[in-house]
Amino acid sequence: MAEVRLVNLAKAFGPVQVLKGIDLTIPDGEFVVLLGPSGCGKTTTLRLIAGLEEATGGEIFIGDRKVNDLPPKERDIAMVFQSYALYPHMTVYDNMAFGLRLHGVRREEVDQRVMEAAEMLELTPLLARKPRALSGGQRQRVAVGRAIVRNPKVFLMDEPLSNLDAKLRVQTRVELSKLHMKLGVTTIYVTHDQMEAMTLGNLVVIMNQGIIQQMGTPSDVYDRPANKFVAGFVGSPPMNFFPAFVDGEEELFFQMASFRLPVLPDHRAALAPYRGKEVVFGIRPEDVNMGGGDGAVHIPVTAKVDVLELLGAEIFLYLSSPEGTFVAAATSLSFIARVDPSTPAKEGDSVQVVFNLGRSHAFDADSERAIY
Amino acid sequence: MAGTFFKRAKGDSSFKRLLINLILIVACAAALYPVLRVITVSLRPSGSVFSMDLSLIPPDATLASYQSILFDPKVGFWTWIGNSLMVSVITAMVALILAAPAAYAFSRFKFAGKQPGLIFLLVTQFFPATMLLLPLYMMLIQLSLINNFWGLILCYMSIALPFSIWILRGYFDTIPNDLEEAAYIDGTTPLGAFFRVILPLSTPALSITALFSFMTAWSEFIIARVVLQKQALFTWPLGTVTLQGAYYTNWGPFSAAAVLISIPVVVLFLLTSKFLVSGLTLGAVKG
Amino acid sequence: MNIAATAIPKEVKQSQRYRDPRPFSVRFREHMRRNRLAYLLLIPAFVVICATVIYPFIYAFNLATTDTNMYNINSPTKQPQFVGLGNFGEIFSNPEFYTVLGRTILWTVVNVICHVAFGLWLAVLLNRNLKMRGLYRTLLVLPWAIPQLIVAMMWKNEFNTQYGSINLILQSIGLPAIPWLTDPFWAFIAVCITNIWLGIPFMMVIILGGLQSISPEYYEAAQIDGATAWQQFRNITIPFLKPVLTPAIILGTVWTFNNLNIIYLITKGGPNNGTQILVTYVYRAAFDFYRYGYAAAFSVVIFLILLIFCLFYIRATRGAQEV
Ligand SMILES: Nc1ncnc2c1ncn2[C@@H]1O[C@H](COP(=O)(O)OP(=O)(O)O)[C@@H](O)[C@H]1O
Ligand SMILES: [Mg+2]
Repeated sequence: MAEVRLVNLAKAFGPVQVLKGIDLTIPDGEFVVLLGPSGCGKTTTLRLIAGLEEATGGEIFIGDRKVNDLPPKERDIAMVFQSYALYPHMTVYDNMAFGLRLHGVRREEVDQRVMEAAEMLELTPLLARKPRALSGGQRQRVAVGRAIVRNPKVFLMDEPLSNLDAKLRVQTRVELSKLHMKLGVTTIYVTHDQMEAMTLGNLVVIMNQGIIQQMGTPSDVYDRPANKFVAGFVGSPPMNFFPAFVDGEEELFFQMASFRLPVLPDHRAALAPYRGKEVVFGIRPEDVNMGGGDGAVHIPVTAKVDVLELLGAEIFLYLSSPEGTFVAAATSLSFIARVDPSTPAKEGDSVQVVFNLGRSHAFDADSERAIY
Repeated sequence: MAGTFFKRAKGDSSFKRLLINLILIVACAAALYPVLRVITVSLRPSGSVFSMDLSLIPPDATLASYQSILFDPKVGFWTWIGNSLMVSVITAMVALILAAPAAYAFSRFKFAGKQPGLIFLLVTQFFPATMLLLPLYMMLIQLSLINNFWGLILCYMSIALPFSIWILRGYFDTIPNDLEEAAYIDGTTPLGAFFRVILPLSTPALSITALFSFMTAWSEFIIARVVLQKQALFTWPLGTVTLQGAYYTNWGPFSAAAVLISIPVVVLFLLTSKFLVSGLTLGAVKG
Repeated sequence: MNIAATAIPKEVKQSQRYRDPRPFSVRFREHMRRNRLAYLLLIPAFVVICATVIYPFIYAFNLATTDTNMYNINSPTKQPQFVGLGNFGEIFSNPEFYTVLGRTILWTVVNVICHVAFGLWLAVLLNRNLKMRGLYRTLLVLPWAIPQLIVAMMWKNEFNTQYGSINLILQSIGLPAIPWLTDPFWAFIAVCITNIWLGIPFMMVIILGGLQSISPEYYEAAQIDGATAWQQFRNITIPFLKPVLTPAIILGTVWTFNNLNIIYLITKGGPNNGTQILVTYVYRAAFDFYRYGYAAAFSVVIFLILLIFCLFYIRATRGAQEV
């Protein structure tokens, strides 16, 4: 087990800069999820750590060792590939034993460790089969088994669940969680699926375009997104963003296209420099509530229900506010509310909603960094 | 794979299926008939080799021709077979041993000269036999490798090696890269991944390649005729042709030899034929 | 396994304009570090190919410009003379060259068309759920398995005017016997038949491989759209086969164009040179008449003809694909 440290890590494929200076420390024994849209460089990061790709800049440490120049086999890592990459010509047993044999582990010990891992992953009855004769879920478990028998310092997993169907994915997610608790090996897990990231990781690292956007616990990144990208990427349906003009004297307020919202006292200090400027106001769908409000802080906003999506436990309302003329973007605002299924709303209705301003966000219009 | 065809064949009317089977049976008969005729001729007694009889098993069938081929010391059948076997096995093995690593390099690396190299390998197929044979022949004379098996094997290398590299590269290209990467992580060196993962996975292509090289050398006549001039060194194609000369009016022993010589290659071929469809990826002509 | 379907970041082909700004020595060292194994793997094959292909290839061009023959090659008194393009001049000014070239083209076209047509037909029939499929396939590849020398002798025997079974069958249904190997026209037909018989299995196997890689869904979709069997063949089977057919046709063409065995062994180019094609012609010039320089020049001409054909063919099929 070991800490993994990336220092200003960069990777370019010819003229294309794919990773633009990654600084990241993954504490020993931690389960870290790298989350980001596809093409943002997650796989590349993982392959750099594994040694399958050479960095064009920066350093990689596993434990105290700088591993930039070590081949994969000397890095003491194991990897679960998205495709599983099981050896088609070997049985399940041999797939798992291969790495151990290469490391010169004694025959009896190989046997014991493979059996142990097989037991843990319920692969024992399948040991004599070839990968071709396994189901998707079984193959996935063999891939995990191949990684754990080696007892490496670090596990690297590249979207290991993406080839499974939805139900199996949830099940396996839980299994992986348990496995990590049992083994306690530093794990770096790559996914583009935020549900997976939020439920699996002790720590989530959000990447975009080769840059780390934020690292934190799942609740950190959800409740306190560092910038507009993180705010919009984490959460489903995504956060609503409105262009807003910060106005007022002592008491600031957001001026939107057709309505205005007060700035809470807590946020005033942060927003003061933006007086007279445009910012991006953000609010999550679950913080848009139906009802009249109290008129003072929670000012009701009138909106029309364009589409209503009934999801059983909740309803998504696709709303639009009437057109206004205050802000440059003088069009109507569309946004989503996530409300209780008992809400009596119909498509085409005009409804009153209030925003839970305590949980709102504001972002710099240019740098997109969170203001509060 | 057989999805639609499967359904279609099921959906085919029984008349259509009958027709398909009929066509295939006729085609098989056409493929088989000349071969069976050789067997027929080989079974005829020496007096009636030229016969107007069309029945496949002659009424007076005898193994006399086989006997004379196999046991007549004047014929030298076993020497020819031994010579042929030696030349063909060495050709196939050497070509495979040289071609597999080279093909792997072509498939996985971006070394200088890769693209021209690939095109050159393809272009070697355009050489008329005489194009290389003539200079090779002169080279062999200078190296005193005429009447030498190594000289002949060298000539066969010029055919077998480029072709083997091409076929194997096509197959390696179909093996996904992450198998090797998994092997690196499991602890192999790049060379180790090639030997322990890629090669075992390529059995179909390796068998096909070896078979082709073997068959090239086994049945080759034109080059052997130029390189080997001593009776004792004759491979079976050379030997059988002398047989044909000596027994010009007697096709019996010739046919018997043909049958005996074909049996091993046909068996070998049919054994590997299940790999033919999967192993022979010609690969698109890139460039 | 669906390994192939996953997105392994393959090295993307970089735009031609990008130049790595680092100095050459740095790039060179990096290139060598990455490709050292490649060069090591290549060396043995490269050495052998140099000796058996590249050197003779260059030598052939050299030889083509001399008048080397059996009498001056190792003679203490006479030396082969440099004749420049003299051999080529002789080839192109000989009217027989054009006759033989024309016959070679005819031979190639007839053979390749028949190989592809029959190969395609049989492959399509075989690619169905038939009970005896394995047996049919095995029997149908048989001609490929038999040594060509034996094939040639076998057919030569069948073409025998008096005893060959073809004439026996023809006569038994009341037709006249055909002078297969004594009449130039019929001899040409005879060698064509033999070579067609021989070459079908290769095409069939290649096409069968191509057919098996076509997902049945395309046919299902086409059937839903109401496409007829012919339309499906035209619009699904043929386009999908193109990637395997293009190299197979190129190889088939050059192999047929250069096929020395069959003609040499059955007719030796006779009777009356009526079945001579370029390679048999040149082989005889080299090894029956010992005119080495001339034969080398002739070989170079054949090679260039094929090279030009191939370039045109690739361009034409590419062009068709782009439309
Ligand atoms: N070998 C390569 N050559 C060129 N570009 C590559 C290579 N590998 C990845 N890329 C590019 O790098 C970017 C990041 O890829 P990747 O790390 O696979 O993204 P992710 O795993 O986050 O989806 C992509 O735009 C991809 O096109
Ligand atoms: Mg990825």
